[in-house]
Amino acid sequence: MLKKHLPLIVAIALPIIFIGILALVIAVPSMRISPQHDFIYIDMQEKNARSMGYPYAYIQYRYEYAIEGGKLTRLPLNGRQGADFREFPPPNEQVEYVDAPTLYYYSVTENTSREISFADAEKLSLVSGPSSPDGYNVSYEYNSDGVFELFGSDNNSGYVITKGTGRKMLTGMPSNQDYYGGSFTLIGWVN
Amino acid sequence: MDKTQLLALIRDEVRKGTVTSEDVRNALSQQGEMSVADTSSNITNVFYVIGAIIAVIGVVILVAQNWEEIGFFGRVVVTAGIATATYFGALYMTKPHQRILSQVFFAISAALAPVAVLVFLREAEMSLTPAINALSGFLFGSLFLSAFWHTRRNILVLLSVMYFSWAYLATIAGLFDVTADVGRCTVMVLGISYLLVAYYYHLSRESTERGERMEKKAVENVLYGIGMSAVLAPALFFGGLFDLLSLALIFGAFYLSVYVKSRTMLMSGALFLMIWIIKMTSEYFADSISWPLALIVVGFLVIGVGYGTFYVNRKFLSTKSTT
Repeated sequence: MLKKHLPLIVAIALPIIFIGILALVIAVPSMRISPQHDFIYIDMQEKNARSMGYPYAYIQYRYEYAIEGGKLTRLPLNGRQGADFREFPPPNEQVEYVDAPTLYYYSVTENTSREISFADAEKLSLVSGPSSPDGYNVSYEYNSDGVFELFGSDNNSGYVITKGTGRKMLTGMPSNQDYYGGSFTLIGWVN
Repeated sequence: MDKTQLLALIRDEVRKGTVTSEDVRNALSQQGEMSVADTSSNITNVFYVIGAIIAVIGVVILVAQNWEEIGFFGRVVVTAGIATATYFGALYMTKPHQRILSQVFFAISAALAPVAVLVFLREAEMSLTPAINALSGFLFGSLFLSAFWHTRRNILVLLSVMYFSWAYLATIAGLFDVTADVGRCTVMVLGISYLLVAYYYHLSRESTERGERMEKKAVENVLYGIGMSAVLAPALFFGGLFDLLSLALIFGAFYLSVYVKSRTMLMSGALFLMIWIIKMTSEYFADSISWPLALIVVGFLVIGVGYGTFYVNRKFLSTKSTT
């Protein structure tokens, strides 16, 4: 009797087992995501917006951030070509000189993001990344739900904090709409 | 034994009850003979199906164009009302000559049921969340499955499978962040389930009536076709090691097609083997051996697949029981 109905039993059980496996592999580790360290980051979206908007302005920073001895410092760029390097720089009148990118403080417990001044940030004890002292990473994930959007799934692209197979959306990030997520740069984890 | 004796023998056996006159008709129809009554019945069935499609389109247009004018009550009557009426109407059409009509009614009910859900949600100003999707899918799946247990109408297998699939996909969409890989695995698991349901249905085939046998074959074919495509199509898009594994799956489809004697599965396997050849050539060989040469190779390989499919079909599947 059981053998006769075995294909049907397996056909019904398989999707249920698969949902169980997904719960074990994805949902349970995600539930255990509990980062303890806030982090400081910069968002280059403001720079990108100016360089593509009108009136056009190419923002050139004078300093870059670095962590030395567990503290945030600013190092002069002095013409050094970092991420801002352009093979054909725009004319001088279109360049706007700014000290450094705006700093943001992300609270992982409150899931909120706020601006922080350099003066306040340099008082913090920081650890450089990319991983936090408790093993977490922040990254941008671009996901298309495809056919699953028909069933009410939200497009879950955005910044996530991950550890192993566990992941949690960073809903407080202001640049969650950033299509490619290339504007986020982690400066350091608050120790 | 001459013709008169043979007919007398059949008459005697029918009178004794060893065989019924329907058995004799079925035996004749199995040999491909189709009576005038069969032909007229087929024409009637075509009208049933066309009528059902027109009716469903009419209801959808009526609701869409006169959304405000007909009010909530009107919207409920033409969606949930007709869905319920056709469902129960079909349940009570139990006579053999009502077989097609009852299935058409079930199909109308299945088509209008989700529209009714949307009407209720709109009235309650609620959005279609995954939880509501899953619940609706499960509810409708259960209703059509219980109707299958009651009436054994073949279309109900497809309708309940369709609604349970809806519930399954909505559950996953609601509970998890569906990354591309998770989405592919989800669809593949569903495909395997379809194949198993089709196989179970194949094993449980017991009808002697020609039209019903054809319906069961059609249900099997649909489930085998969708199931095989749901397994093979996502496998082709994983990339990496799956490029090889998908080839193994395609050959698995060929083996299974012979095992379950399904021509639909064989054709699905052949189609995906062709897609696999074209994909692999464009990914790995087009740059090294140049596109024109790659096209020539692909062309001959596809011809080879076509001939191989013809050979397997002729050698292993060309029997009367093949679906």
